[in-house]
Amino acid sequence: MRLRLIASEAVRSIGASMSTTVASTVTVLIGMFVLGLTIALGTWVLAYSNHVKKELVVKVYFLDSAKPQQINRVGNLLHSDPRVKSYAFVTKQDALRIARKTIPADQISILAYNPFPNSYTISPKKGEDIIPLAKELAPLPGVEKVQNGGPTSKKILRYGKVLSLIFLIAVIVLLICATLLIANTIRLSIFARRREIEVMKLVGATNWFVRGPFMLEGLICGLVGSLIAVVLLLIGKDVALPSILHHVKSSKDARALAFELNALIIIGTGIALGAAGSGLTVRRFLRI
Amino acid sequence: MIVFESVTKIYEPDVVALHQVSFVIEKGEFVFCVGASGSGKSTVIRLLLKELEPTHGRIVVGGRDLTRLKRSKVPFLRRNVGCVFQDFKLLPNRTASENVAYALKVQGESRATIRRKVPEVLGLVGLSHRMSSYPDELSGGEQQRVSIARAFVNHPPLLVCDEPTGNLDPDTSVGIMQLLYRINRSGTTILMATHDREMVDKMRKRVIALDEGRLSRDERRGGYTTE
Repeated sequence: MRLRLIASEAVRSIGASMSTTVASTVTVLIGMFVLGLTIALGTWVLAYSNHVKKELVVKVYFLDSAKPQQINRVGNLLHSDPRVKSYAFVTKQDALRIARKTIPADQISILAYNPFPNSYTISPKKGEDIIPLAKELAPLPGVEKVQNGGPTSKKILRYGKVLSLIFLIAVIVLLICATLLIANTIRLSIFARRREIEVMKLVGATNWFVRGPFMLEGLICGLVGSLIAVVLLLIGKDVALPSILHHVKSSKDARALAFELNALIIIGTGIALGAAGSGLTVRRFLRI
Repeated sequence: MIVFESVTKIYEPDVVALHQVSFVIEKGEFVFCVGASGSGKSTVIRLLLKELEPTHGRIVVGGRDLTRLKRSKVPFLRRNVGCVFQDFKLLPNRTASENVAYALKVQGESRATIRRKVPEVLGLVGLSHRMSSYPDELSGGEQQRVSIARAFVNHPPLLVCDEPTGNLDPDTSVGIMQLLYRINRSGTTILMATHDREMVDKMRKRVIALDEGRLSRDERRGGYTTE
């Protein structure tokens, strides 16, 4: 009975103050659309950067004079190192075979002997670990040199870090902007109805009787605004994006946050901002 | 019904609205509260509705000490104190009957009760034909009648009126006063803050006069000024 009354009061209020309701809904829609877009783009960029980082490998080349015990020691170390995702031993012969596939035959055929060393190719779990791994492996006996991609991998790692930071800052700033924008619109719409609240209080309405319909109204605005934002994002994802970015190579490892999860975040944030924003703003006018 | 015991109200920082005001109003009385602008009349009304807290003193309404009443209990106090204001304070996006019904809804009255009581009370104030009109479609007098209907629909034991005829022409004011008089005769205590000299002199009811926040006169059958 009580809930039905609150619902009917909220519906009446939405109808009676349509312009402010539309303003609040559109504000939520804009805020949530931009937030959703940032999350989608940001998570895709992060995933792509992680994907690129995962391509980074460390190569340990052994001296021709390296003893099998020395090679095994490195192998044992890699086996027990929690930072290592996988590693593979490449013999001199394997290395030559691989070279034959990539280097023109006439160049290979002039080789008087097999110049390729025995080596380990190591894929770390995190791209950032290639530098410490390389540093630790380089001084081991039997090791001729260790390659970690040098400046290129450092650049990739640095850009990855910068991208993560930019994404994090963008999401925080956008969330703050969306919150302030929505709060401001809600505040204005409730401010316009402060006399109404005063009258309600003077005829004996409890705080919750006044606040309930306002919160439900905010919740409905938040829900509708964020649902429209989700629909627009869906259209953008399925129609606009493929036609604009059809040339961008997709990778299974580089994917944006699942659309369903992104939609849930947007709807949840929209509802929470709408309801909590209304509830908190009304509180100011309830002190009568 | 109402006890004011040495009530002082000071607005921040140091504006004394009421100073050591004491009076008792019995059940069923009709009392005018008169005085110049700024004498403290509206403060008395706002204190009775617990819109304000007294700085010193004690206020008792219907046996309840308002100075000890918790904020959460204020809505229940207001359901027993009908209030009528100079600017009517109607909800602009509701019809006359919906405005009256709102006062019943907040109490959790059933739809059947609301459907029965609203036309009854609007009939009592002579607005049966204007039930579906919005406030901006009503004249000042009609709006005040809706406001009185809303205040009276719960049959509160006390009705407080803050200059209810302040925005109305003399003829309309007479109609409103007659309505309030009839409500008073049904047993409701009425305290009315007013500037309406003619009305006070004509009705010859109890008069409490305030002068710069002090109680200057309390006469059983008084006029607007001392004769």
